[in-house]
Amino acid sequence: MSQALLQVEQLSTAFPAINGAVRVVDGVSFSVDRGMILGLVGESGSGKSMTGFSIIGLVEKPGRIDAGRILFDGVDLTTLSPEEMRRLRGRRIAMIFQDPMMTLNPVLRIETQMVEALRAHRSISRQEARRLSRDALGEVGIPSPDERLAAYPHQFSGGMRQRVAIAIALLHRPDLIIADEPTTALDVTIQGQILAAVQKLAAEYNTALIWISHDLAVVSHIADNVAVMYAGRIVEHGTVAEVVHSPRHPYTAGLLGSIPSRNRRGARLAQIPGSMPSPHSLPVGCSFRPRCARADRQCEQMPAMIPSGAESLHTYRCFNPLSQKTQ
Amino acid sequence: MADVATEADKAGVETPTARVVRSFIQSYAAMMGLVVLVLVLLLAIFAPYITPQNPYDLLQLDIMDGRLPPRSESMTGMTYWLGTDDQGRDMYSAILYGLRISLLVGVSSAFFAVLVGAVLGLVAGYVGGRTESAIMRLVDLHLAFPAILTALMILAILGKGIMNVVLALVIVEWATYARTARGAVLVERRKEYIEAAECLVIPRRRILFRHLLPNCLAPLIVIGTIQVARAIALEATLSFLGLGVPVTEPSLGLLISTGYQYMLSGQYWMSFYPGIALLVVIVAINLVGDQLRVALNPRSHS
Amino acid sequence: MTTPTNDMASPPAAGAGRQDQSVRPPLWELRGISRTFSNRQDVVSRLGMKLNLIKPPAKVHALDSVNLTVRKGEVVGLVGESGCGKSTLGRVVAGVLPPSSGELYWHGKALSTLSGAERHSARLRTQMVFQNPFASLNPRMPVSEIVAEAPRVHGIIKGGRAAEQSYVDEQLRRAGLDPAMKGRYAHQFSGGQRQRIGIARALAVQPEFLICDEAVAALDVSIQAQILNLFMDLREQLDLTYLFISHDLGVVEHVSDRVAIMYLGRIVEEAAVADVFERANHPYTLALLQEAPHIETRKRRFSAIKGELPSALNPPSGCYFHPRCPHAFERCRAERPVLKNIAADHKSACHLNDRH
Repeated sequence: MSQALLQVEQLSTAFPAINGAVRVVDGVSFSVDRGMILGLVGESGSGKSMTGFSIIGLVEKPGRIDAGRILFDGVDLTTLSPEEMRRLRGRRIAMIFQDPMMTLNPVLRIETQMVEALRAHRSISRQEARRLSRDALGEVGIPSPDERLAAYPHQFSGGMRQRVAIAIALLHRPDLIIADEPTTALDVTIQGQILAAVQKLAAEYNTALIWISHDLAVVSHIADNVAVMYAGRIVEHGTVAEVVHSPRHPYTAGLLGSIPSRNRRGARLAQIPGSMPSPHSLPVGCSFRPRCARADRQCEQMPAMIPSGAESLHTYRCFNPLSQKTQ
Repeated sequence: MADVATEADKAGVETPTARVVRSFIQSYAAMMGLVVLVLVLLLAIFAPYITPQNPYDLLQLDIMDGRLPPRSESMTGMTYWLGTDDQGRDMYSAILYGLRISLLVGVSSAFFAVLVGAVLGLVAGYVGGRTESAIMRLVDLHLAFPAILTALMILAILGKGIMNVVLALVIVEWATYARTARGAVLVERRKEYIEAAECLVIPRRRILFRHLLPNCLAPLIVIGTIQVARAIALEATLSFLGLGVPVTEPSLGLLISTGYQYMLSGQYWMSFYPGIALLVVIVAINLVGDQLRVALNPRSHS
Repeated sequence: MTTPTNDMASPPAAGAGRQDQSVRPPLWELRGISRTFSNRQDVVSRLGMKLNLIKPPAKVHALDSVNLTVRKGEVVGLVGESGCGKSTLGRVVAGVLPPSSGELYWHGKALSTLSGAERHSARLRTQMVFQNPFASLNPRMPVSEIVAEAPRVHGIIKGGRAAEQSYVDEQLRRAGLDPAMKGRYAHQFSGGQRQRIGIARALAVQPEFLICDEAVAALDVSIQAQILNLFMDLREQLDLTYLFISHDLGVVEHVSDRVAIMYLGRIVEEAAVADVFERANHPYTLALLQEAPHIETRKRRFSAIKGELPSALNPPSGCYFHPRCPHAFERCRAERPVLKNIAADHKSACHLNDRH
């Protein structure tokens, strides 16, 4: 049995606050195999982005990972020194951000940045690095890559910049790419192009992908598995088909129900009352309890993740789940 | 009815001012600076009551007591804790009285400069067009000249005296505020709450004073604080150069200036102690101003 | 395109169930509305231009000869990507941005012919809900003042403080907020609540017409559902008419009776919602519909349309969409297509429709 590429076990990330540390990510566990795409879905405040940052080691002080393990190809990333983590970052794990200007330096030419990124991890000549950069730009669908290499980021449109950021992420053919809402700020037609490019390249290089998004629709198109996060915890996890067709957790069902296209045109949308609690003031027991129509006395305890069926990998965190829909 | 059943709100009403204060308190340095400033202010206000001598009253001075080192005794049994200057003034008294002048000049010049500059800047930013161009070119002209040069020219024309110094400082300083105010207005004007007010057909004048002005105050307050320090230093410089306050009512700057010639002969106290006093005031103002900038910056709030 | 999973019944839904739209009177009518932007030139540059030393600055054609009619009681969805001019159009209708050319008609009368008082009334009866919940409320005003200011200034509230406060309470309640919180300031509320405050503020002047400019774009999906439901409830309760501007096709499909698709300042297609989403005609509409992700249970291969959104400073000749259109031919480059009827109440601006 091949070992999973990434195995996250009970990951917790906390920030100090007036009354002690506050966990924005709490007990998150999942695994990603090589070449697989996991969608990490949640609304703002769910902790999904922070999970991504924790994996790649970019949690800003004074936040820190205070529990759990992140096993990447057998190595626990939480035990690595900053220097070791830096060697891993970019070469074997890469990240794409919502704003491509987080990757791109506005005062350097694209060529400079890409060559620098390449030579940081490999000892190759400048010409060789330039050639690889040019090829990378071509791969993500940027026309006339030779000319574009000499350009500055501000001379590109938003969609193009994101492509360049993706090209940079792919330079070293990393094993894992973490993408944090990369298409949220892009127009629909451009989003389609980016999704096509990412899909193709991930398949070609067998890169595993964690796609963080609030958009279940995009995730459902591109991911194999999906994990739904609420208030710092994963509340449901399974294949896209399982979770979308037969959600067990009331929040997942509520989220799906809120989507306009899942409702009859013009009818009132199925809405979830209230809003997500902040990590500073979580309710006792299940975090979703105050908004849940199915809550009862049991829910004053935090439920654990349990599987949907004996052999099933579809898990959820609820004492009163929705009944399973049969095919 | 309200679907927003469970909302973890901050308890009670928190006015924007309370929020600023809460943020300000978080800096020890700034709190220290504030304490020092309050102390300095109290000392200055109560100076006549806590000094053994009024250094501006020529009758109380005895030139025979001039240039005495610290902790000397006077003929009348009064201790000159910080020594005396060349006119026989008790340094301690002179510093406190000098502080009054420095603070008066600094604060009033900053206040009037803000008034003039902010109004002009606001109008320029909101009205735009030719008015804006005219005002901003005037501002550019002003800022092209070094402050001291302008002040010197004005004082050379007007002559010496505290009010003239204040006037000169106002003329020198207003342009900075105008530019800051206009910048703030340009940013705020694009925000959607201004658009909303226009959509609601709220009269322009009301938008300017009830919507724009309160939200443009923050950078003005910050700059104002720093400018008080600058004005005090500028006045000290002008007095040092001999164009500020009259010799009989010296400010800190003049004390430093007249005492300076005695530095090399070892009678340091005539220049040194007023210098320290000036330094303390300016540093305290800067500390407060720095933290005010952080506290008033909406982005730095969680 | 919709997969009605919650209900067995097929459309029509609430909107189209109303009386035939063509009978209802038009509220706002736009004819030939254009709007260009260019950088303000100062004295020196203008002098330079007069002397032919400097080129005139580039102009952005944000709106190019737009015709649109919104009838009483209907919801018109305005869809497009960035740079298409939908926000600009919203602002022109709201009266905060004057058009560069063209005419607006309120209740059938041209704005230029209205008296000052009538124009004032038109502006007040047309209100807007904005996109950014953080920038759309004055940070230094308590909520009660945010809501009460305009009605007070315009004399809508009669009576003293008590009357004013109860009016404010009523507006807040209607928007789904607890009136006990009206002393608080904007920063103490979440994004969804702030949008509700913005809605209460707009409703406080008793408008007929509400322009929602990406009003739910910045909200999470579950909060978005709440606000959309609020819009639909208010429509019933107050007989409001909406211009719903959004880039989100799913949302637009759900709330609109009619939809207009914009591309680079022009309307390229306009029809009843069912026609647009089930029988789209214009190649851009088709591309948008294809690219818009909707929940599916299987993975899908994306084969995207090529090309970037053109710059508004330098739009293509003829039909703006022709560089990216898979069906473009000679005429498309040369001639701008006219927005005209291709079926009953279905307009499209495409030369392909002339080829038979």
